[in-house]
Amino acid sequence: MQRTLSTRTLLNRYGALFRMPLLENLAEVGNVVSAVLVMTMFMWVFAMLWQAVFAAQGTDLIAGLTLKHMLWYLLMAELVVLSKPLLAEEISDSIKTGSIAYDLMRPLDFGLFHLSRYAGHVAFRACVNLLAGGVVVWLLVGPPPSWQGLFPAVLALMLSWGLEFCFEALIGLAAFWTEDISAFRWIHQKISFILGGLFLPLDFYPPWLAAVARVLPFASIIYAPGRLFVDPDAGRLLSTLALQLGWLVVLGFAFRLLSSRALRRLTINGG
Amino acid sequence: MSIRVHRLTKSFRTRSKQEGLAGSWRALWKPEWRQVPAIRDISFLMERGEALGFIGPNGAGKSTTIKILCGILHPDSGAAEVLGQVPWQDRQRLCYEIGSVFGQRPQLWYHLPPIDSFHVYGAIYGLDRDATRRRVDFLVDVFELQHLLHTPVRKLSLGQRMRCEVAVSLLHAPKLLLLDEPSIGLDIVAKQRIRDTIRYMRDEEGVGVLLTSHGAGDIEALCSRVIVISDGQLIFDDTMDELKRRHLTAKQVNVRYLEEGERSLPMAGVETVAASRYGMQIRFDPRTVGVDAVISGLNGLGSMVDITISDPDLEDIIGTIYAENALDPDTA
Repeated sequence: MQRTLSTRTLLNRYGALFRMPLLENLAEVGNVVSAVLVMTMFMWVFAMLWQAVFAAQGTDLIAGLTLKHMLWYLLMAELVVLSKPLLAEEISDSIKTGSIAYDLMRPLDFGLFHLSRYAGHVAFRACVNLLAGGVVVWLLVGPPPSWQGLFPAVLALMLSWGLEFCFEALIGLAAFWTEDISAFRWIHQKISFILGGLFLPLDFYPPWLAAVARVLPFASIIYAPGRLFVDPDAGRLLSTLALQLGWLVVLGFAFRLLSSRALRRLTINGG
Repeated sequence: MSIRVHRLTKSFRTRSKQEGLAGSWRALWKPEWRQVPAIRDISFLMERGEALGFIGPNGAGKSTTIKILCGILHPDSGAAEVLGQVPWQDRQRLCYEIGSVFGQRPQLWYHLPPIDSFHVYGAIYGLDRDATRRRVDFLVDVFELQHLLHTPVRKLSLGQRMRCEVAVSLLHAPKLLLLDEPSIGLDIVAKQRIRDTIRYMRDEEGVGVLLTSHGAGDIEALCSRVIVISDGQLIFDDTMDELKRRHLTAKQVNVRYLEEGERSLPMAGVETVAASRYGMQIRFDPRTVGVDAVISGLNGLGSMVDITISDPDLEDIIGTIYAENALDPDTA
């Protein structure tokens, strides 16, 4: 029986999967509350730290950024990192326990199945984290430097999470070849934190390192949306989006390649 | 025909390693691969709407066969057709017509009540909200899920959860239900309930059931035909009645006595398996020796404190079938 699927069916299907993490988050309020606490605490610590640094330097501007720029930037960077689910572990667990068999037995595309659930989780957590961290930063240093950065930043954030999805999925799929993915997870995380500018914007790095880091995908994920938010201009917007889209094509292709090889390996060699 | 399997063979490649540190070191640089056969030359047919049981000990190849029939694994050689499709070529089309439960791997969302999972699977299989609701109402009725539907899955007992798992696998009205060890770990009452509902669905909707189990209970309750596989090979394929007639013949009795004493029951057709000062284990064929005669014989030996009468273990049955096959070079 050949089935041609209407766009509506597809939207219903992946829309329903998108909804599930929203329901899960609402059912598990405890997890959400602890996430809010982490975000609040991080932003408060960052604020104290940078207030002290700016006071000690006796200046309003470090590496071209004010205290206000600095904190709103850090909020965006933390938002990227703290709002995503542990997709790599989810995929590797499904491989190890064999429950991936269910995923393959459904009329679903492997990538879209995970992407829709990932997006649902991010959508919920990002809103909550933005609200919690935003209130703290606002109270401590005032409103964002400009509201014009909001829309470009949201656009860049979505692409960030798209890129991060690819990284996470690639790490998770590594479980087809190796028992334990925690080494890959660890390496990716540390590189992201440093070359992505999670604790310190790339503007603080030595020029050669900043230049290299800026074109790598890690900066497209963590650095780009925050920097665009505090300092929006047309040139920065275009270069940011172009770089993000470029990496998305590369990483998306890598994911497609690896997932099709992994699934072929599964069906031929068994789990 | 619902399933047609012809000379299916599948082996897995595993890395083998010599013992000790030196062996590990050698395996690191020059891995040796070993082909481990999972199933060998299996052929069978299953009619539409039939209930077919697959028994065998762990590692016999039951799950491998099921996975090939779902299209998740490619066989090394041989042919298979499920509802007219080649599973490993048409998996995405076939999955609309198959429902599956793989042991205790959950398909329901753990933190959410089952009703949410029902709706998501409805959307995945392309049912609209009304159709999903009608189907859910029907399944809730059959599986008696009224009180479970709105409780988070993690708060359900294993038996309740498995009822929901089997129900959700029937949501898209599949023509064939593949159940891989659906009752493992359940207590007697929960097992019985699952079996009753599966039987009801088979009669009501004509859904074919292929069931694997390492115990005979599920199969006996649900299936009219049974296939026994051991070590990747099909060693028995006939009706349940035939299996019982040929192999489920002996009853086993364990008895314990209050006082110490010499125990023996000299009756024709009764075999003493083991005896001690306080008790004994005997075996007999109820078709030739009456159960009442055996019990009164045992009663005459002293005052009993405990007695259990049981069917032989499946392992024993498989052992006898296997022994028979080993003697016959045509089928071994």
